[in-house]
Amino acid sequence: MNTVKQFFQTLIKYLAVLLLLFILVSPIYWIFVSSFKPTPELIRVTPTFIPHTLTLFHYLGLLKETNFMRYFLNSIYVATGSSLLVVILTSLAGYSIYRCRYIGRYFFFHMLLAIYIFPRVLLLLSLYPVFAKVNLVDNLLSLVITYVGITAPFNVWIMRAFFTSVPLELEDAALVDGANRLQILFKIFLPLVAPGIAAVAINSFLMSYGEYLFASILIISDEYKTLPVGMAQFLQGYEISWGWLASGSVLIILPPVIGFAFLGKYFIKGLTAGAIK
Amino acid sequence: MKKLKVVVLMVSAVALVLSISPVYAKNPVKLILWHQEQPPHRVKRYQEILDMFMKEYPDINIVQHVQTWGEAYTKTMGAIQAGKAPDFQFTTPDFAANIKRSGAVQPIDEIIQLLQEKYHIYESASAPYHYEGHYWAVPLYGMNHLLYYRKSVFKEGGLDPKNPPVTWTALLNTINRLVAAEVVPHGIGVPVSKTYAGDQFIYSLLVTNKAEHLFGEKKDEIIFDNPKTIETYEFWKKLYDTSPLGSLAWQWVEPQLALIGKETAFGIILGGFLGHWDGQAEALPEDLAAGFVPRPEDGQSGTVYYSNGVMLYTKDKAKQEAVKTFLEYLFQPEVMGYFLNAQPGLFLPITKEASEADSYWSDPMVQRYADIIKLEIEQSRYGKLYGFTRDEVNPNIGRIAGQYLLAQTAQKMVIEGVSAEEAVKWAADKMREAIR
Amino acid sequence: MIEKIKRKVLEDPLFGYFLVAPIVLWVFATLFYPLLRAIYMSFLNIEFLGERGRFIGWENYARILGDKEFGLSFIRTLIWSGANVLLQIILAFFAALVLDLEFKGQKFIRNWILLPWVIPVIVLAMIFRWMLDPSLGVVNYVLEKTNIVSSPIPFLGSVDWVMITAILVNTWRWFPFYAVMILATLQIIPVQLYEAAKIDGASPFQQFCYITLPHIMPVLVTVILICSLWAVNVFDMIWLLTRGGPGNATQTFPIFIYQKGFQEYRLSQAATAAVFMFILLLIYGTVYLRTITLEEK
Repeated sequence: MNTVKQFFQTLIKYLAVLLLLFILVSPIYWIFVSSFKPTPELIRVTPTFIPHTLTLFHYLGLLKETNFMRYFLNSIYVATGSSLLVVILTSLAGYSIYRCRYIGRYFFFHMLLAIYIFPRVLLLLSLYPVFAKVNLVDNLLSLVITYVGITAPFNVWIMRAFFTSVPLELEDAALVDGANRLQILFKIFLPLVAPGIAAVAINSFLMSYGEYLFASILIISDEYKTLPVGMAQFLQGYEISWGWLASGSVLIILPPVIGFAFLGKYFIKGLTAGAIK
Repeated sequence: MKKLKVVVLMVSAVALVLSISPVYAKNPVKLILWHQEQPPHRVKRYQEILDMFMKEYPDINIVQHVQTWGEAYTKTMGAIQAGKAPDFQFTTPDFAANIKRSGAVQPIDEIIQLLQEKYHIYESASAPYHYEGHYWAVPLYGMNHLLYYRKSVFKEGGLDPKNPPVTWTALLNTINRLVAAEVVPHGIGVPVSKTYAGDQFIYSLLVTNKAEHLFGEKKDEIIFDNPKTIETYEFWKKLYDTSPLGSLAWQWVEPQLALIGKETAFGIILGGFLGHWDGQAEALPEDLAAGFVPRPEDGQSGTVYYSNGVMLYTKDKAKQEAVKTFLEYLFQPEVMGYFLNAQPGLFLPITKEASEADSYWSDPMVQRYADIIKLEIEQSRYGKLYGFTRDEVNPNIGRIAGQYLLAQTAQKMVIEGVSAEEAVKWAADKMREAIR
Repeated sequence: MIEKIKRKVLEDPLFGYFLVAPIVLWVFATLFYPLLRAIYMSFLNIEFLGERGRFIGWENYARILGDKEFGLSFIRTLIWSGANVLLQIILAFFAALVLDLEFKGQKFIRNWILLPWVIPVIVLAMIFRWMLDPSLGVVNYVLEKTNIVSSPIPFLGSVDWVMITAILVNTWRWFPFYAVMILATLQIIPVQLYEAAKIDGASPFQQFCYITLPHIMPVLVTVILICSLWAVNVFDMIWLLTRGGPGNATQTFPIFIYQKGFQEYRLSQAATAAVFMFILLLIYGTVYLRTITLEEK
């Protein structure tokens, strides 16, 4: 009887996996496959699921005819910069709000939330003149500053569950051992919430990586444009380069996927469980 | 020793004086140009022209910055407010009208006069920029519609590919015939989205039906709700009924894809279609044909027409001179021809001389579609733009264009099922509200 | 003794302020100032960008409240966000649970789960518009060929379908984000708890209810709040997919505000609508937080 039950459990498990995969992957499969089709096959009314012909034409064209690599580097720079700053800011702020006690800590908590209640477009209108005054328009730094502002509050919230899950006894024990508060924070506490920090890093990186609205308005010269803005240039208007749309999408996905492959180990179960023991 | 010191002092003094004298302090004039022609090959072509110009005029340096039309307004106004506007910028009539409100656009009469003395500039190109007694932009290129179809489709349907339908009735008849014969599943791809694509399609029909005026003689008077407009929308609806499913959401690209894919027999499309057809279709250049936008029996030849120009922002005299020099350079027919072919078929010449330039007609793609392009240039003589058909321009025209009221009227008919008359009345009231 | 030390160390307010100051200042500078500016604008009559405008008191507020379209976009926003939150959380939960299991290729899939979220929205929108077109797209082709439907569905081209289509596309794009959140939380639950439960004979379902859920609740509650706020604020996805249309079928608050400001060129009215949106969400957020803090107590 047990084996039958086990069989069904495994079956359901794998069906669930397949379902998830299907939902996730089908549009991506379509993009991926399209990126290798020659243009006439690409825009045919009757689509082909397995390409009849394979070509690297769109990739080569994209890299040669546009400043794709430049945009890519700009995006990486901005995303890395913001996520680094966000990790620092939110770790500190999270510890402060969730583990320290002082008047006003819940006020800060809620105030950070209030940020997302507001439409982005109008935010932009007011930010632009400020950046213009300090000569930061057309400077990638303005994007880093903006993205930190936008993503940090949310990430402080994300920290909540991770930070509150660490038992207080640990800090007490460290206190008894004579550690000062900074040592507690950096040597004991932060390593325990590593998955939270990883999550925050990934979130803010990706959010900055794909942001369009602010990047399109605050950056003017081509050499500082980020990926989404650069790609938009051949995706709008009278003609759309379908081949580049597909190949560009594939190229855009690659770095985060590769990066995630490295950071994925932070999601291994038991990493923190062992530490807490 | 003392003598040496004196000599050194004198030499340094002379050197100092010379170094700050104007003879040595000649910096190149730096100009910043913004434009919205973002496809990479257009940017490349413009850079070539800029490089050629700068070689001939080494004391002028021009840098181009590109953005999409979607960001253009916010970015431009933001820059103007921050005191960091470019020196000059490419524009369309309604964009110019919007930006002009800020006071940042400089009248450009002197340059236009200069150019008009040398070249024959088409009226339809310069008129939309002339109001309040001045010119606010120098026209550079135009864009308009044609009726496109495939010769193979015509042949298959037993029709003469050299004879596209000329009248509204003929268009409907041809569509019915081709669809009935199952040559193509649908008649014509009608974009209905709330974008310029939707507006433009309708407006071309309005022009052919002599309903091109939104405004009356006075610029505060809306005359959109008139019988000719209603008539046009009723015809539009007939065309929409032959359009493929989903065209309610269509923008520019879908009608083109539909024609390429033989989903439709016709398309009323801007010349940019040629680039799409040429680069991406399985079809051959020879298979594409075009005719004028069909008109009613008692109508006129007509099309929507976007005169793209360049506005001047800088007040600095030296920079203004530099812009003038650049435009003079650009307007030379051979340079202009090369400039226009940043997008062959889409950018049409606005001077007679440019339309005869070798550099224009010798472009390989232009050669492939020479007949069609000639037709386009011919059709452009009858081109108009809504809101810019009178001598004066209402400064709030941006509101009407920005809300895509022409397309909204059509959407109302399709989505809510109201009559053309009701929809047109609704739109006219919205227009009146918009210019308050 | 410990209590005394603890009180001195951990309850030292200066330390707390010091740590939280950077983020507070940063956020204040980049986000509160624009908010204040918008509120200021709502009392003027600025129409095109760059105008000075003069003070007109509550006129904009009266106008917006009386605008039928504003009320309609309020309702649409409710439908849009409610559906998005529901679908995103359910799908995210499902994905997180699946990824938490042990199976072949688990590591591989974990690397790809964030894919929908990584692709810039502008690219996604183009791709989906293309795929979903009834005449030119692959989705309808498949539906028709497999006889699921007899005639193509105008996903984005009909008033009946556009809202749910936009919701589904947006859900597809966002669910990995929340899935990762939830997954990370699942990782923190000590394995020993599950092992102990298994020894006691608990079924997977019971394990889920008594171990997983309680541990996730705090995070989940947070996630739902954020999810709803962000769902309300979505602009780019809707705009690029539908432009708010056909008609005004997908005109939610952000779309309404954008159109008011940048198509109708009535900037102060747009600012007023934004202030309304802010107030409504503030009420929502406050009520929500009150409720969960009460629950926690």
